[in-house]
Amino acid sequence: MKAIKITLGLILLLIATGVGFLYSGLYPMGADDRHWGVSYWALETLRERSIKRASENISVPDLGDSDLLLSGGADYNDMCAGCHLQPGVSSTDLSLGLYPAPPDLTASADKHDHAHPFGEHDWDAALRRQFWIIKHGIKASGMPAWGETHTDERIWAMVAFIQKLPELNEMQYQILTARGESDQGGHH
Amino acid sequence: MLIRIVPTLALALLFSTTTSAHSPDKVRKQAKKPQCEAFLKKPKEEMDASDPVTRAMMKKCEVEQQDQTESKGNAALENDEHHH
Ligand code: HEC
Repeated sequence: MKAIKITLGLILLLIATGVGFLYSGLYPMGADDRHWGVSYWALETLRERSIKRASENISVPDLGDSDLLLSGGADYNDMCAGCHLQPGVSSTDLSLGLYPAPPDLTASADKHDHAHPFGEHDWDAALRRQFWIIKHGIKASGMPAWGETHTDERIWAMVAFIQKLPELNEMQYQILTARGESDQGGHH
Repeated sequence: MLIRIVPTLALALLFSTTTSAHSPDKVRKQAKKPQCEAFLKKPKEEMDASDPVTRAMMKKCEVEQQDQTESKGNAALENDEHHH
C-alpha cells in the first residue's frame, strides 16, 4: 500500500514537472538551436522504427522504365531540389536553414547519414522507405507529405529518379529534369 | 491512465521542436528547355543504350528535335535554327 502511494506520488510529481516545463517557456524552440545528442537519437529512432513499420507492406513496382526518370526528374527539380539539392549546387537557404536538415540526395546513400540507419542492405526496404517518406512526409520537420497532391505513380517516378541522382552530372541532370515545350502543362 | 499520460508528455517534450516549411524557392521557376546540343554531338557509339539514364536523355532530346522540325513554319524557331 505504501509503495503504491509513493509510486503515485512520484508519477504526479513527474507530470507536474513536465507540465511546469511546458509552461515555463524554458525550452529553446529555434531551429538554429540543435538538439542534445540523446534527443536526436530518440527522435531518429522513433522516426526510423515508425517508417519501417508503416512501410512494411508496400509493394515496390518495376522502376526500370526510363520514362520514369523523365517524369520523376522534372518533378524533383520543381519540388525537391530547393531542399535536397542538385548536381552543382551544394547548399541553399533551405538546406542550410532547416533543422532537421534535408539530406543531400545527390550524395550516394553511404555518404548521407540516414539512408540505411539499421545497416540494412535490403534494397526494396530502402525504396519502400523513400516512397513512404515522400508520400506521407515527416512530422515536425520540413519534409512535406506529397501524397496529398500527387498520385502514387508520380511518387514512384521520383523514387526511381533519386536512385540515379547521385550518379548524374550537371548536363545529365539538366536534360532529364527540364520540362521541354512539349511537356509544360504537366504540373499540378 | 497516469501511465499513459507520462509517455505522452515525454513525447510532447521530444517533439517540441519544429521547422516551418515555406514553399521552396525553386518551385515554379520558368520551365527551361533541355540543353541537348552537347549530348547530341556525342558519337552514337559512345552512348550506352542499355543505360536507363542515357535512354531517357536520348528520348528527351529526340522529342525536342522533332518539336523543332515540326514547327519549322514558325518564324521565331526558324531564325533560331539558322544559328546552328
Ligand atoms: C522544405 C524542404 C523540403 C522539401 C521541399 C522536400 N523535402 Fe524531403 N526532406 C526534408 C527534410 C527536412 C527531411 C529530413 C527529415 C528528418 O530528418 O526527419 C527530408 C527527408 C526526405 C527523404 C528521406 C531521406 C533519407 O534518406 O533520410 C526523402 C527520400 C525526401 N525527403 C524526398 C523528397 C522529395 C522527393 C521531395 C520533392 C517531392 C522532397 N523531399 C521535398 C525537407 C524537404
